[in-house]
Amino acid sequence: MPLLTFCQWLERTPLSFGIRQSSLIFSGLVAIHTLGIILTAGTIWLVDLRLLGFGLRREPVSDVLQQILPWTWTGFVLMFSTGSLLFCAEAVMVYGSIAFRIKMLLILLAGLNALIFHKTVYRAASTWGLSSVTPPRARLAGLLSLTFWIGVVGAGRAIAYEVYR
Amino acid sequence: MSTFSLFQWLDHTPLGEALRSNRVLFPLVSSIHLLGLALLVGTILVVDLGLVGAGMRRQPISRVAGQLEPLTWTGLAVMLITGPMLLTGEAIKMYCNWAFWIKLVFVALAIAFYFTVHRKATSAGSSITPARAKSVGIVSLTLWICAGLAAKSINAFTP
Repeated sequence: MPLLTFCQWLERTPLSFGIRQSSLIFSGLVAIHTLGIILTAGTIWLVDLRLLGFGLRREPVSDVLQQILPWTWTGFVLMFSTGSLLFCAEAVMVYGSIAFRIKMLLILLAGLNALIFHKTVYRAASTWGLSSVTPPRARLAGLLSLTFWIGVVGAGRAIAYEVYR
Repeated sequence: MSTFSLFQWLDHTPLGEALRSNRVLFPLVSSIHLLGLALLVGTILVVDLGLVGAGMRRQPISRVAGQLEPLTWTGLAVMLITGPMLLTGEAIKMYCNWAFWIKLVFVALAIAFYFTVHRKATSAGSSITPARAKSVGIVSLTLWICAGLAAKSINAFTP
């Protein structure tokens, strides 16, 4: 089934109709979605900035990551669940949005970057994680993550202006 | 000068005109505003959760707060610069929007709380009891979340 047909089907579901009908539910979802993304990006940046030598630079990297990660996931779950519902509500419009596609791509890249970081450099974090100056590859991962998430926030904003104006 | 004429004047500044006529400018500045918020909230959240006993528990909270302070201030500065910029783009609209005024009140309260009670509770020599620390964390979190929710309501309640 082509993606557009799927989006059209999605928009005809009672769930999609229900969200569109109530401006209170819709704005409520948008509010939780924004809170979720702020929680996700805000906490990820703290780790990124630590890798780049800012913020919690006197704490071990693994300490920062382990203690902050549960909150990143909380934010991500909030963001993902409300995001999916918002997508249901306006699937066809969002399907046509270039900003939305860029946003999805950036989230994917951010995820890949995090995965690679965890599977490679971070494995040896016990040897370098105590120093405030981290290895170049860890710094690169931090910089990429920081950039991708800035892009996600920006692209997210752009969807609203692209679709609703 | 009345508040309304101040807002009228803001609406007519060159920046306000530019924000309205240029399609890219407003989303751009509003994205930077949101980035500032994420930095501000991310850092304050970690400290507040620490006060509540749920965030970074392995480190003393004053140590965490001390290291994060420059980042919090950066986020706050970004917001305080981009916020009024955005206001010039839709000053009259905001004047008529009650969610905007509620947001301003919460932002003012949250900032005042941050620089007084919060700062004292997270300073190095603080002898605050865990129960007190917990309530400081909860109050701070509540104020910032309310400011955020009021901000999101601005669009929802625009006539």
